[in-house]
Amino acid sequence: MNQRDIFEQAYIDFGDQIFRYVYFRIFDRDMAKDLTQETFYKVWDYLAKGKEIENIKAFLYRTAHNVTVNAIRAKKPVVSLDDMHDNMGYDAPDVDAEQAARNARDVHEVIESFAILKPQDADLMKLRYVDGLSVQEISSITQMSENNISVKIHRLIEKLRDYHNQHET
Amino acid sequence: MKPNLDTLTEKTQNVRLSSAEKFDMLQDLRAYADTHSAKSPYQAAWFRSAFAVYASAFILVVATGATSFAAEQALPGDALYSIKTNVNEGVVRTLPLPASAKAKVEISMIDRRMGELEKMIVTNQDSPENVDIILKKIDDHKEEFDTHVLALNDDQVEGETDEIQAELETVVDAHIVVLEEITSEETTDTVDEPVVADEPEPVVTPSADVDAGDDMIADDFATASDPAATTMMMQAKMIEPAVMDAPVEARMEVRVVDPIVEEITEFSLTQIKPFSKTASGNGEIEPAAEAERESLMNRIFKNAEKKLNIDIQAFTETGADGTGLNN
Repeated sequence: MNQRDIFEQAYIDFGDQIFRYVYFRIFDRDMAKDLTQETFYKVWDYLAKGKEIENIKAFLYRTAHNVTVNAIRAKKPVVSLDDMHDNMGYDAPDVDAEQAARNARDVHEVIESFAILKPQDADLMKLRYVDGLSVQEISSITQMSENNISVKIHRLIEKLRDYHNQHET
Repeated sequence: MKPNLDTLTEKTQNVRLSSAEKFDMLQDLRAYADTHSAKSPYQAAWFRSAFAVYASAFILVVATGATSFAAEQALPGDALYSIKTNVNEGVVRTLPLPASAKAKVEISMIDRRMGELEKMIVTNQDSPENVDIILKKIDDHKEEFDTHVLALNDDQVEGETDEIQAELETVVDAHIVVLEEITSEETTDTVDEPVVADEPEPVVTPSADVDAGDDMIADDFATASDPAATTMMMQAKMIEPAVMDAPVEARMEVRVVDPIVEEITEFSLTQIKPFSKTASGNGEIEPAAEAERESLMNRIFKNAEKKLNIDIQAFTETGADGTGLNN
């Protein structure tokens, strides 16, 4: 498999996931598309230099993270709940539109609940529960040990639960 | 609200690119990949500059001794010139560089050779032997350059080949301007000089047959290259001295040009006088010198055709002694 084949296969396999990763950090569909494309540009630039990528998925997520962070620093995106609902970022041809909207609302509400966490902890939770990555995959992306990630995620869930218990009572 | 993390991932799955968006982005990515072709892993940014490579290698070489450093100033005919070309530059040429960098190294070598040629002309060190050395080396560098460019084509590095070819043409064109300037100054000086009318020694050679036809005049004019030969021809072919006193342009009009010379009148590099000293002292043209002259002419003409694309105005052989012919 040459570099070009690796690149195109990576886009076919992970294009949506990277788009989702970016979207749930900036909540702007158009911007998420642009940043997804930029992510793949950077990956190609790396491959085109003849360099090897051991774990393309982890590499894509790390690149997407860097691209997104840079974009956020350059221009703070609008992330109000209204904007989120106006710009759901959903394309659900095979799902009931009403159900899709409910899903979007639920996801956004959960993500909003992450606001009580430190940004890096919120990102860890998104990787695990929004992006659906395994602990092993998160370890590849963040360079943290799997054990550390497991412990940290467990504590963050406890923290969120305590917070909501306190506010519901 | 208590977050339901268990179903969160499932609920996010509808956040995705539409089929049309995904297709469009794939086309964009393919176009990007096409215009940003894969390169050799050796082509790190630092290595892309042949100048940087050469400079670093040059520093490495000169650091090893004063001899190598001194050799950098050497010209053909100098004892250290072979050290300059074979040792100092040899190190650079043996580096494991990508084809593009190697091609650029050859451009820098051609740049150096043409610079040496200019220096030789200005300092009157442009003997045929020395000019021959330079021309041969330029040929060698061009051959190496072509080899590396072909390798680039094989690698399908689009755009890079054109860029490198353009770089070579720019370098050569710049030197051509300088060479034309230098040689035109020399020509002007020569024409303005009074004719040195050394008392001619009568020379009788089998070829100096007074009864021969005009064809003989053509041959002898084209090959004579010193005052004695000029005098000999004036005597043998009864050319009027007034013609010989005329400016070089006027003389060119009355001269019957050797077919070989005529063939390369489109090539101005000949103004560097590579054949100006091929005649023996008595005015006869030595067969070996004649062969060498033809060889050099052919090589220069070949060079002009294949790489330089130079607009050459005229071929003149004007000697420093003001005779209007070769010195």
